[in-house]
Amino acid sequence: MTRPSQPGDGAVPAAATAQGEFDFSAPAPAEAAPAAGVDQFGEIAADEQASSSAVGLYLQSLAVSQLRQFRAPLQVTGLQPGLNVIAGPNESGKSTLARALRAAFFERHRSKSVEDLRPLGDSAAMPSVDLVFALHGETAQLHKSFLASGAHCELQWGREHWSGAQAEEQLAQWLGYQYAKKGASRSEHWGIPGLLWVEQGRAGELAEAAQHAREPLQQALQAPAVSNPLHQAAVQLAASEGDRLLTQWQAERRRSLTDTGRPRGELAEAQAQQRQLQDELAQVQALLGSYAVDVDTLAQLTQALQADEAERPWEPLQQQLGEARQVQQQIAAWTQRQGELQQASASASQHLRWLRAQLQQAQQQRAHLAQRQAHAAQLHTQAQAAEATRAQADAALAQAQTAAQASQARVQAAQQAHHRALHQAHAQRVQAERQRLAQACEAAQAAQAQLQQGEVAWRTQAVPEPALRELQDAHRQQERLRAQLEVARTGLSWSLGDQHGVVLQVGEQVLPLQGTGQMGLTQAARIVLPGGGELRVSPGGARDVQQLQDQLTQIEARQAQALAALGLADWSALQARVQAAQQAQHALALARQQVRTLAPQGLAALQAQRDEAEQRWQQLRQDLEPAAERGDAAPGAPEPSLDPEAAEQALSQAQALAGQQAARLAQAQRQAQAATQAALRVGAELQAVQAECARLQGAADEAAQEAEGAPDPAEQVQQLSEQLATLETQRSAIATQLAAARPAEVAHAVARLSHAVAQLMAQHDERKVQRRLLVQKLQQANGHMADEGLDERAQRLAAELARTERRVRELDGRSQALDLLCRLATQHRQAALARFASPLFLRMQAYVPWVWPQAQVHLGDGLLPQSLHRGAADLLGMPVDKLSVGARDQLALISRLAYADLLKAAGRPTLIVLDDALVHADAERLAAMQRVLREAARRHQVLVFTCHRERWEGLAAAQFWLPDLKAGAPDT
Amino acid sequence: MPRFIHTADWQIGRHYPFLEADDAVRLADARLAAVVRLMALAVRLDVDAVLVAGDVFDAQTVSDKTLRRLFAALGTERAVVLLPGNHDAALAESVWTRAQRLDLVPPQVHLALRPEAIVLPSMAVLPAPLVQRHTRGDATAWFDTAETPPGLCRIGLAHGSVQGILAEGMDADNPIAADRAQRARLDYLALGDWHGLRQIDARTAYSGTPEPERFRDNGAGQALLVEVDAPGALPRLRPLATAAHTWQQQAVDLQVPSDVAALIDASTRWPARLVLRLVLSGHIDLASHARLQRALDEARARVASLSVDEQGLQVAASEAELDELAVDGYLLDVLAELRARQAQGDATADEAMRVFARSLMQQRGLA
Repeated sequence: MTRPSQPGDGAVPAAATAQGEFDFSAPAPAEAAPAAGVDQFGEIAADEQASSSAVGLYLQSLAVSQLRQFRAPLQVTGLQPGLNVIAGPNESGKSTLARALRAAFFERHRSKSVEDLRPLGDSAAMPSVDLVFALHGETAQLHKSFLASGAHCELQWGREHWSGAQAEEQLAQWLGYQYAKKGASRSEHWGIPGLLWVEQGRAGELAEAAQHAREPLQQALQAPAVSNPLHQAAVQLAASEGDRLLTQWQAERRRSLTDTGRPRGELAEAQAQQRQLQDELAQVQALLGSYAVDVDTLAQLTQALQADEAERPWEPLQQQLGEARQVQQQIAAWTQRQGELQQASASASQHLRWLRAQLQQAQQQRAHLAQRQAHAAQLHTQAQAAEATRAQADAALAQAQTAAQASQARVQAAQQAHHRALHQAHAQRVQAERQRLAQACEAAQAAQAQLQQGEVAWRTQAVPEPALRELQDAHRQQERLRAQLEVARTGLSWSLGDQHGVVLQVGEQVLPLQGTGQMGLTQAARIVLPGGGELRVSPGGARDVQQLQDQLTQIEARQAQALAALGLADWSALQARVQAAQQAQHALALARQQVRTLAPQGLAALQAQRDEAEQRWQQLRQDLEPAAERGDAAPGAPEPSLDPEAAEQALSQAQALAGQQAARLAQAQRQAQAATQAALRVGAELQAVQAECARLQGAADEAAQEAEGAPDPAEQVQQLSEQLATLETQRSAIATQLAAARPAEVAHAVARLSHAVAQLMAQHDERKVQRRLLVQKLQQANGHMADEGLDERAQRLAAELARTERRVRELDGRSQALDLLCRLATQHRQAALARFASPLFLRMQAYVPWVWPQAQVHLGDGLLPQSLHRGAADLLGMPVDKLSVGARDQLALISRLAYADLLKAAGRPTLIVLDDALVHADAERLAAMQRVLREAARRHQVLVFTCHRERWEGLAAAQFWLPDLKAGAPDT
Repeated sequence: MPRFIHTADWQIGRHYPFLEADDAVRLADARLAAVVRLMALAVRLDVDAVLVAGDVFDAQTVSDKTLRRLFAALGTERAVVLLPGNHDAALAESVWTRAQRLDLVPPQVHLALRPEAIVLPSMAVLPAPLVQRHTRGDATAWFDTAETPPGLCRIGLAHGSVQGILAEGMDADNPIAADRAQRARLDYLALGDWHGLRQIDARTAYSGTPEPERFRDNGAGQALLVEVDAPGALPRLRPLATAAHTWQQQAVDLQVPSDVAALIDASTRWPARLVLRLVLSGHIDLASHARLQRALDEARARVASLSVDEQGLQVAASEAELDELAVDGYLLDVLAELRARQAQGDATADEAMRVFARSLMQQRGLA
């Protein structure tokens, strides 16, 4: 019962528990949530651990035979008191083992409803289960077989033994469950094991299981070992009539309010009725209003109609209208008469105007005739004068023509003279030229001859250029070779005095040397001395000297040959010849210069010029000769002069004179022409005027003829004028009358009066119609009031509305009151419940922080977790049914473990079987839950069936691998 | 010499929105029953005529059925003069034109729709009918110059407020000169509009309505028997009780248990024809309230109409009651909180407390 005290842990919780005031609603300290939970729990656990060896259920082995897929016997032995993991792949028989366990406890061996235990198609099989377990410290063995005729049940516990139904009852009593009265066992019979044995996929279905185990749980909560005396009181209070009243209030509240507090049921109906009545009442009141308005309108109309009938206001207006219309008729008559007079007056005036126009026109015609006749006479005189002028002009013209002809002849003569003079002068110039050209031609011919001579001379003297150049080259070579030879020669000088006989032999040449002399040797030589000796001289490089000598000789030979070809003796002859050629060339150049000067375009051209000049001269001489023969060709002409200047002067004079005469002639011509035209024009005009005169006279004669016997127009005009004056007088009299009658005002009055009368009568009629309509309308309205008048309806509706409002008020007040009661009751019930369930809360809270650090679970009805609060500040919390499926499963499992703790504390056997209970957990959550399970396994035996062996490895748990177990089973 | 009944303000067709529906119907019918009784009285007293001073009908647009019932109630034995009042003014289209159109008006019933003297064998009645809903002019003015056959008593019949006599705040519409009887040489001026019986002077009086319809105690529920011995003689007036129901409003303050007991005791003696409005105030415990409720429910079944206003009444459980009711568990906490809220004047808590008490008593089989 005691626990070593930890430093810093103190004995506060224990003390608080002893005082019964442990505040379970206070959250665990945040930083120590899981640890604190475990510690808290540790205290409880320590209490319970002590008794666990004496009480509780510890399954040691499980064997099945001929059961479903286990046709061969299968045995699971060595199960541990703590956590056991029985793993196997899908379909390997995990669930069958769990089923076998259930069957061993829950199904009666005689039950016919366990056909599912039979292996498929094996009708002879007898499924059986064998269990070995420790209960309350004693080992028990259970054998149970089903379906076959030999099915039986045997239970051995220590030294006691039961068989058949007795054995089954004993088991049920120990474990806290029931058997089905009929058929297969269902969850409602399972009691505590139902709560602690979680079937595959049903981990989250906590409420039902807890409901089925309610009684043992309540007992457990009230067991002295679990609950202290003060809790006892709370339990009793919570179980009293409060819940009945709360249920009643909730039911009553639900009749008028929804869960969210909106009106429903009677209250909603009453409110709807209230709105409807308000609407209806408003409608009726509107009808009443309109009815009242109609009645008032009817009264007004009736009054107005009566007034109309009594006063007949349109009658005086009608009388006024009659009078005005009479005046209007008089005005119309006057207006018509005025129109007639106006027309007659207009007609007379027009006639008068016409007559006057006639008179005026005749007068004008006469005046016009006289005027035209005078004009004709005047024109006649003008025509005679023009004719005289024309005759004079013609005479002057003839005179001028004669003078002009004479002067023209003189000009011709002068021109001829001038021409001849010019011709003669030209002929002289041509002759001079002819002579000069003839001389030049001669000189040129002479020069040409000289030139030809010179050319011949030059050609004889001239040495051809290549030959000359070759000769000159050879000459220079000779000079050079000789110079070289001079240099190469060995000088030999001698002074022999009188000695003779010394002979010099050079090649073939033998030369006696005597006296004194010297020479150059260009080749080996021998000096033969008298006496037969000799001196041999070899000029230095004798061979070169020889070569040079040879070349020289060769060149000299060639030169001589070339000179010979030219007919020249030697080099000097050549030089002379070259000099002579140069002189000839010079002379030739001079001759060429002379020819070029004399005949720049060549001699032939010069000769052609000369021939042309000769020809021209011949021509001119022929031309001149006939003129000279003609002598005095023009009489009166000046002496023919060969002086061109004088001839020209004479010509100018003659031409000037002829110009003057021509001008005079032109003037005379113009004057004659003008005079002729004037005469023609006047004549034509005269003719036209005479024709017009004739026409006018004819017309006048015709008019005079017509007018004969007609009344005098002047008299007619007089009569008409008088008639017109009378008409005007009458018209003005009528106009005065009309103006006095004011026709516009009369017309306006007539319009106004007739409109007013029409309006009054129309208004009267309209009122009658309106009144009739209104009466009909009101009677119609009255017709609808046979059973209930509008006012009565309004009053009835008002009354109903007032009652409905009263009812709404009452129902609302009552609903609010019920709402308040429900809220208060629920609130205080929760508080009581929390106090009541606190042992369970404590145990839940021992596990919860493992999974949800710092979280608290609040318990609700049926000792079920209601909401999860993540920390102290989370007042609302997350309702359990809003949690995710995984979290819900996990919380449900924790609840089951807490129940197990409670039951265990109350001395009930607890075996926890989880068939794939944590399938929805992620790795992290699974680890947390495994810690929770390990913790629970300190107090309870836990069998975990799983298909995920790997998830459960490494735990301090006994591991069983189903395929291994099956392999180890003997095959039958 | 003339002997007639003066009555007014029948208000036929009136409804009572503030009463329970069945009570309201019954009391509306009672108005017609009063007319029947009045006419029977007229026969018994052998009067010459019944003069009704306006507001015969409560509204213009009552049903044909209502019209028929009223005219049927008038019978055929006694002359009746019906004066249009402000509720049933003689408008262009009115309850009167409708009655004429339906041919409901028997020969001895005179509709005073125009200001014209109605000459009966023993008297000349000068009516002042209202022809508009509201008038500012004195409709009785024409009485002053009205000619009547000599030797006949001149009886005025009008509906409105006598100027300067009635309490302030009365409708100023439809004024009547205070000295009209004297100025118009009337032997008697019969008035309507004031629902209680009230004599203005020796020759002028309001008869009031024959059947009360308000909780105000102003002498309603009567009619006047008028006798005039000769023209110029002072009229003799005698009130006639005509009411079937008594209308009362009682305010009761409940402070101690004996107050409740007294009220319960009184309730057993309430007459059947009582129309009662009970306004309760004070404090009361659960048990007393339950007892009172029971008594009032019993009374309600007996009297003509009972309406109770409990708004001023606080119902709370006493300490003794709490012990007696043996409230336990969290209900104790609920009760404590309710009382705390009541102390703060929470009306919802008051109602919740009543519900609580009733529920508890039902549980205990006390209620």
